[in-house]
Parts: sequence; structure tokens; C-alpha cells
Amino acid sequence: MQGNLSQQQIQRLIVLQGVVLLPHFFRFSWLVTVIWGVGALWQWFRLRNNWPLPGKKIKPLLVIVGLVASGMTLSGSGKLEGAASFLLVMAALKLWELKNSRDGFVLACTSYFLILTLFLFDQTLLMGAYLLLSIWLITMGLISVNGRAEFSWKAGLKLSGGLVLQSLPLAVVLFLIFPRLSTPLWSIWKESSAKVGLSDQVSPGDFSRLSKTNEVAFRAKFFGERPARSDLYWRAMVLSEFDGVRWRRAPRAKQLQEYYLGQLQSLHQLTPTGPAYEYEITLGATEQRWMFALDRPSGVPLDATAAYGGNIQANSKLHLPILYQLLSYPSYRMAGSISDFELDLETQLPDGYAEQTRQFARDMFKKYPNPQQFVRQVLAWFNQQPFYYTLEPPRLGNNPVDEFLFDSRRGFCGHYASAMAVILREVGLPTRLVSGYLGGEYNPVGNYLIVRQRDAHAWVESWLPGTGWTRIDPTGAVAPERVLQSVEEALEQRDPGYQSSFFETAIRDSWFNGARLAWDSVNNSYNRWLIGYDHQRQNEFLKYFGLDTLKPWQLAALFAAFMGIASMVALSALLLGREKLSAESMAYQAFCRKCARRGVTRLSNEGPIDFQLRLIEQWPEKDAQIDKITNLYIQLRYLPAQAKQRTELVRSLKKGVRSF
Amino acid sequence: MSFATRVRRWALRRAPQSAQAILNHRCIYVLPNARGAVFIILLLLMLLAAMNYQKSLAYVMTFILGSLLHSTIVYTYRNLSGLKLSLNSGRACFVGDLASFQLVVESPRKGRQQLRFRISEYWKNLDHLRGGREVVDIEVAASKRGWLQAPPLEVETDFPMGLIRAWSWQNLSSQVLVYPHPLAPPERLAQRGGGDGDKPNPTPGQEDYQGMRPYHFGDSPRHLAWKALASEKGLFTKVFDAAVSDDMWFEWDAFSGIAVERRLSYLTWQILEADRRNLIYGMKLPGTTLGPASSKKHFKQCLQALALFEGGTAESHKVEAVNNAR
Repeated sequence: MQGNLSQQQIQRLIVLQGVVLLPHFFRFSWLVTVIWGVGALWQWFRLRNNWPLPGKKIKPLLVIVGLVASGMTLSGSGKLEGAASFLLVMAALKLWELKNSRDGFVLACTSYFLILTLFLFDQTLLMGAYLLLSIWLITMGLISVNGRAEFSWKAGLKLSGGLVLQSLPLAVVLFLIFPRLSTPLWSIWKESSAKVGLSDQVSPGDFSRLSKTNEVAFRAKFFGERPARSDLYWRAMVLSEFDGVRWRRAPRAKQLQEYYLGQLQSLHQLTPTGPAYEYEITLGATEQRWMFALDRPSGVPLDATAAYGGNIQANSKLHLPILYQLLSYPSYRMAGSISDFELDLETQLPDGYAEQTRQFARDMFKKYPNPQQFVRQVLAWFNQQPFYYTLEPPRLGNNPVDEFLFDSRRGFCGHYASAMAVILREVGLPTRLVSGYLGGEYNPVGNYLIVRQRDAHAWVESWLPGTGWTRIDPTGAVAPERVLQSVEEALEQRDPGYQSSFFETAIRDSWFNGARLAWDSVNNSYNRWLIGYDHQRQNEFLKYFGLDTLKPWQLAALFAAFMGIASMVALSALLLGREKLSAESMAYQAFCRKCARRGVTRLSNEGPIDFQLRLIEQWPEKDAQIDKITNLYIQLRYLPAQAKQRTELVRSLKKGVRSF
Repeated sequence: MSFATRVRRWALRRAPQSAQAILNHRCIYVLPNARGAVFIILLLLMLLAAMNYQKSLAYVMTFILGSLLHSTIVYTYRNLSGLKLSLNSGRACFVGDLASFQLVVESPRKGRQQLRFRISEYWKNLDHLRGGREVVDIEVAASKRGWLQAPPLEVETDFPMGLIRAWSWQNLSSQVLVYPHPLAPPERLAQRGGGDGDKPNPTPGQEDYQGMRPYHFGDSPRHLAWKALASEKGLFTKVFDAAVSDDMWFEWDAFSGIAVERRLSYLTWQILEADRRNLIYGMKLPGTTLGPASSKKHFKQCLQALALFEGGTAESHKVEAVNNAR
């Protein structure tokens, strides 16, 4: 309904919009926040002091400031954020000229849409809760704008809360069966937020940086038994090209991906020497293609292919969280032989680097020409020499391998793996760096493993006669705790400079840990069932009900039928549960009927007291009875009474009417 | 005939004339309004964004809002359903005034909000139905004398979110009497018609006191014989010569040659004036003679006769046509 908004309504809208748009203010340019904030303050005082709305002179100025503000956001980040900030500016400007009910409606609608844009960037559980909160609040705003009657905050929130709650069941059904697309409708604008995680090139110091982040990389749930802690090597990618400082993924390998799909077969050519483990991985939107698998996977999930080096790669960048299942054999043998291409790629070493290390390798190989024995001796050497496992190794120069191995001897997993790979390559053993994660925290609440960025790890893989590609972890020779326990415990024991923060220790050792794990478990379920619900999961869900063969239009028809039935049920409930009269009203109506039969009919606009007077005028001799009935009725209908007293009063009212 | 009018007619045929109406699923219509349409477009945009970016939370938001729209249909419907409406006629009025009807809105259930009522072109808001019962005065322009039947009532609501409109058309039977528009007759006509009816003459023929007669209902209290009453002889009315011989008569024929409605207007004015001055007067219409008397009842009878007058000669119609042509 049209009409100007009251002061109360406008103030209410400002408060509601402020709460709802709060996350936006942190995301976008400060200027946007200023426009909104000044607009809000101005409206507030305008209402107090009865100032007029901004005139034609001020409006263009405001628009220019707004465009500059959204332009500032646009230059700083992606298009998507720019578009969202433009919308935000529009909403903020609308606040300046907020006057009538229509403005309020527009403001509420833009707020709804702005909340939606928030989810394009952030879909954490907290955001999920925020979604419900903001729908609740904006709906309250919409109701307030629509109503002319002033109602309290409490009544408004109750009404909109009830509406939202009653809407949830249908929303759940829609969420589950509305057909999901496997590809976007048009190209997705690139999101600007940088993700922390593994990179496809590794210099020895990289992993210590990752080890300081607590962020969850992925979660893994095992069906059946969990592998031993020392078997929890999660592969991400293999790094084959070495330039003396850095390890990179081999670009040549990319080109030969097709040819080396033979490697895919080798996934199946594993000869297991231990149990198989089946598990499911929940992976967030990494904006990367690689996927994690327990060393070594025996197959590839849907929408992914086998990549060079026995890894798994998604067919496109992971813009969305995914969920996939795999089967892995931590202990295996590999038959066959290595190709010439691979031999060539995995033994190359740049000249002029790590000469001392290579000399050391050749000397050692002279003593132990058997590859298996050689590997064991090198690991033993690492173990016996004074090597330190530390999160903060000294900075290394241009020849990091030699400097590390013979001089500083302080390093993190990247240093050890890099040195080990150079040693093995020098003696002609095909070797490559594998990066991924080691270990993970077991969450007993949800029965799954949480693998964090700080569990990032690098090890090497060498082709040894008889066993094929074999995992070798030199870090384990220096700091066995890293493999058997966790990175923190390894650091606590090995690294004198490492100080785990007081809070971390306190949390790990207290009841709070249980709460933390429970929270993570909730998060995991949320990610699995809500955020990760895509066309594939939908298919699984429909398959469960045997509906997966239906075409989208058939599904739509089914939904329509469901809706029809649901509406009919709701409507019939509405009609059957029609307006029950209270006991006192029924008794009083019976009384009125009795009077009507005797010639005095209560008029439709006549209150009970007027009627009472007219009755007494008509039948003065019955005044006591009439008074009693009327007073009881008024008391019951309009005055609050205790429940017990009430039943008493209703009984005497009924009795009075009967005897009348 | 526009589509909307056609629909309205169809709906009114389904709502028969009755004294009271209880709104139910037979007569409540529900559709999204303009804002609802905007909201639906917003939802489609949201769905498009959710589909393209494949964000689950965007889907969740879109579906919650979609279901919200669905729920409001029930809320809005419920806001009207079960409402009991009846119409009482208000006081009578003159042509050109606003006739008023009293709409009695009753609900056995609490919490009805933002109801709007309309008879002809005036909307009346009822923001909150307190105490389950409320009387709303609804005004209708009275353009014709005679009985004014209450036009069809339209009741609507867009509670709670303003996206859905539920409405109903009802034929509530109620009528109000509309008197002719009072019009002062020109001086010369007044002389001819009502004697000195329009001259200020507070005590006509007082000198010609003739005697007393027993009081009749309708006699002016001005002429009561107070002395006789005080001496407990009973109620008597003093009879004056002037009142007997020169009662004021307002006659249809006094305005011959003038259009029917205008004649009625003149007569109405004269009667109003006479009543204001507490005169004793009578009225002669073709086929009807009222009075002479001086009472509220007589006054009302006169006005009612004027309001419902259906005669009028062919001659006067002709004159009216001439007047109109001029």
C-alpha cells in the first residue's frame, strides 16, 4: 500500500539493512561504507528535524560519488565484486531518498539480492547461519514497510520468523529435486580471492610457510578400517623438473598426458601387498585442478582423469566444493618397466648445481651398488648425521642443496626431499618429488580425518627394480615423529626454536578440543550435504529413490503433483480447522438465539451491554438473569482469567443460559 | 467491457444478495500484485545467479524466498477467510452528500490486519481488527434521490508482505434513503407556493387566539397551554386563528411548469426551513397530502415522500426537457 513511511518504519529499515549488509562493508571499498553510513545518519536526523529529501542538486553528486566508490572496488578485484559493489552503492543511495512504501520495498528487494551475492564469495557454515538471519530480518522489514499499523519489533520478528520457518520444508524439497546443471550457464567470472595451499612449484622453504596455516585442506572419511598413521600419505602431484633450486611439474609431461594414459593402467596394475582402503574426500573449491588421493589410488572418480605420475586431476578447475570416493593401496608393488621418456625425465639434473651432493652420491653408490641398499644407507646417513628438523631453517643461497646438506643441516620436509631426490637421480635412479599432505587429525565425532594445510608434506618416489615406484621419505629418517604423530609434535620435540602457541596447547589438551572437533564435524556435514550438493550428488539422491532415470520435465511434473497434494492438504487443514468459537462465545450465541425466539433479536452492530439494556427494558422481571449472563460473558471474553477460574466461570455461564 | 469488469460481474453473480456474508474459499480470490510480480522477477534473477555460479547457498536463499512467497499466499488468504461482514444503513442524506453505511466487520479469530474496504470509489482502511469486531463507516456519493442500494463491496488485503493480494466482492443488501437536494425557491415562486413560509414570522396569528383543544400528537410544543398544564387540567393546545385559517401548505402545484426534480428540491428546502422554525405545515403532492403538523415524524414523512416521489406530469417532463435544452 502506498503512502509515506513513518519515522519508526524508516528507522527500522535502516537498522535492519545495517545488520544485513554488515559483511558487505568489510568486503568492499570504504567509500561504499561511508555512503551508506552517512545516508543512514542523514535519514535518522532528517526524520528528527523534518528536513526535506535531497533535491536535484545533491542527487547527481551522490551518484557520482557512488560510481567512484564502485569503480574503486572494481579496479581492486574481480568483476563479480565490482557488480556486487555497484548494487550495494545503489542500495546505499536509495537509502538517501527513502520516503514512501515503494522505496522501502525496493530497498528490501535489493537487500535480498545483495545477500545472495555474498554467497558467491563465501559459503562457510557461518554464512549459512547468516543467510537465515538476514532473510528473517529483511522479511521483517518488508512486512513493516507494507503495514500501516505500527507494530512492535517483537511482533514483527515473530511474524516473519514464523513465515520463514514455515517456508523451510518446501525450500528443502526444492533444494533436493530442482535440477542441477553440471556446467555453468555462461562463463564464470574469475574469483579474486587467493587460496592458500600447495603450489605446482616447490623450493625447499615453501612448506614451512604452509605449516603455519591451520586452514583445512580437505576431509577424508574412511569406510571401514582406517590405515595406520604412517600410511597416511596424500598425493597431490609429482614434481619432475629441477632447475637446481626449484622443483616444477614437468611441462613436457603435460603434453604427453595422452601418451601416458598408460600410467592410468598402471593404477590398476598395482599388486597390492596390503589391505585396500575405501574413503571419501570432501574438498573445498580450490580453484585448482589437482585432487588428493591416498598413496596410491586404484582408480579415478567421475569428472576427473589420471594425470602423469599416478595422480588424479579434475577435468576443470574446482570452482565448487566436491566430494569423491576412491580406493587406495598404501602397500603395493608395481610390475613392468619404466619407459624411456620417463627415465629421461626423472633422472635429469642441471649442471653447475649441487656438485658436492652429487659427488657424495657417487661415492656412496660405489660402496652400495644395490639400489635398495643404497636407499637404506642414504636414509641411515640422514639419521646419523646431525640433521635438524625445523620450521625456521636458515635462508639458503644459490646452491641450496649443497648448502643444506653440508652446511646448515637444518631443514623442513622440502629440504630433505629435494636433497634425497638429487642424490638418487645422480646415481641413475628415476626419482621425483611428490607433494601432498601427511597425516591428519582424526575426528571421532564424525569419524573422519581433517587434513590441514600445515600437514603439507613433500617426499620422494623412486623407481626401484622389483617394486616399481617406491615411496621414500627422508624426513622420516630425521624426525620419525613427523610420520608417526603429527607435525606439531615433531616440531615440539625436534625444533628448539619452535613454540607452539599457548592457546593451541591449551586447546589440544582440554575439553575444548571435543567442542572444536564437534564443530568441525558439523562443518563437515554442512559441506558434504549442503554446499557439496551438486548434480552428481543429486543423481545419487534420486537414485536412492529410484528417480534418477526421470527427465527434468518428468521431475518437474512430479514436483508439481507433490505441490498440488501438499497445497490441498494445507488448504483442507485450513478449511477443516475453521474458526472454532470459544466456549463463552458459543454459550452467549445460544443465549442470543433464545432471546431471538422470544422476540428480541440482537443487532449485528449491538454490543453485549447495549443488548443487555434493551433486554432488561423488555423483560424487567428477568434482569438478574440477564445481568448475570452478560457480565459472565464480558468477563470471560474481554478480561484475562486464570485457567482454573475460567472453567468455573464458563460452567456457570452455560448453566445460566440453560436456565434462562 | 473490459476483462476486469467481466471477471467482477462473474464474481458478483456468484455472491448473491444477502444481509451478511462470511468470506470463505468460494468467494476469496488470490493473486500476486504488482510488487509480487517484481518479487517473482527478483527470484528468477536469483535462480539464474545460483544456477550459473552453482552456489548451494544461493540456491538455498532462492528456494527459501520462493517458499516464502508460497507461504504468504496462505497467510494472505487466512487474513480474509472467516471474516463476517454485514452492512447497516447509516442516516439518510440529501442528493450531493455522502450517504454512509456502517460496515460491521467481525472475526472469531484474532490477528486480522491491514484490511481495506471499498464501496464505489472510496477505500477505507482497517489496520487492525481489535477485539474481534469493528464498525467501519463507508461513504457513498448520493447522486439520486430515493432508496440508495449499497453498491457491491470490495474487501482486500495484502497482509503480511504486500506481495499477494486476496480480495472478495460481496453484495451486501442495505439501503439508505436519499432526499432531494434542497434548493431555495426564487422569491416570487415562494410567495405563490407556500404563502409566507419563507418569511421570518416566529408567531403567526398570535393575536387571533381562538381557544384550546385537546393536545394531539405532533402539535408544536410552542402552542401548548402551559397554564392549563400547570393547573393540572391536562394537555391542551392553544388554537390560533391564523394557524387554522392560514396553515402553511407546500404544494406541488405551486411550482407548475418547473422540472420535477427542481420542484422536489424547492419543496425539500421549504420543509427544511419550516422544520427549522418549528412551524406547522402541510405538504401536497399529487396523490398525497401530509399534515398539517409540526413534528419530527411529520418532517420525516414529508422528506420521505419527496425522496420517493414517482409522479410528475407529462407537462413537467416536457418543461424539464426544455430546461435542459436551455
